[in-house]
Amino acid sequence: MPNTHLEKTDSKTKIVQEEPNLKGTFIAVMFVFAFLVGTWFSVWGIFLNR
Amino acid sequence: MHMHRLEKLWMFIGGGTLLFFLIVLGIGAFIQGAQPPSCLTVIDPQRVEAHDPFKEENLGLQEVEGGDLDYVVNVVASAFNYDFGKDEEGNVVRKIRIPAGSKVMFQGTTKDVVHGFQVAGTNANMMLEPGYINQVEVTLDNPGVYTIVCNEYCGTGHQFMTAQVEVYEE
Ligand SMILES: [Cu+2]
Repeated sequence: MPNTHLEKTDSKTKIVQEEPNLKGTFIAVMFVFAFLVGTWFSVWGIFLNR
Repeated sequence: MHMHRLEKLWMFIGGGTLLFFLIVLGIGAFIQGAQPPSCLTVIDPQRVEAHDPFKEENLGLQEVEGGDLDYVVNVVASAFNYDFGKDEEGNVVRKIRIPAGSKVMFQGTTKDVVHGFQVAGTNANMMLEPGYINQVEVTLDNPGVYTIVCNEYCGTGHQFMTAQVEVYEE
């Protein structure tokens, strides 16, 4: 008997979503963070020094 | 809800920044005693001289005995002048001389409109509003001549509204 290997197709088969690559976005967010921290502490430095 | 690992990380950083600023604000308000300018001290702008610090003889630089303040500088602003009273020779004071390292409180009010009071290059910067007394405390460590400027537009002579503070080394 031929083996057709027909499997039951299931419409509810889970579609495996690939994780998006957010490395670039993360680096961009870190740039914003570094800018905020840098400006805040430099203004604080001005406040303390004069 | 599934969230990307990096997305979680930058949300924590954002939240942490918010928390940091709230703590900074809390330290300023509850430990260092920062309060709104004047903080309910009112004055009749038509009769500022009825208030002790703004009597003619109390204007300008006043040495303080004891306490942690070294000097108080009383000033009455009006369009377009800062009144620091007169010196011993009877000349109008345009320049205030303070020894370096002094802790000074500038205390001011205005007779007419809103004026600014900024000792440019120092942390002394406040608004003078009619009906209110405003104060700012600074330690003047760095010798030099600083310009006092009005940084609130107050009328046609606004740009002429200046005076000076000289911080000298003892
Ligand atoms: Cu002015």
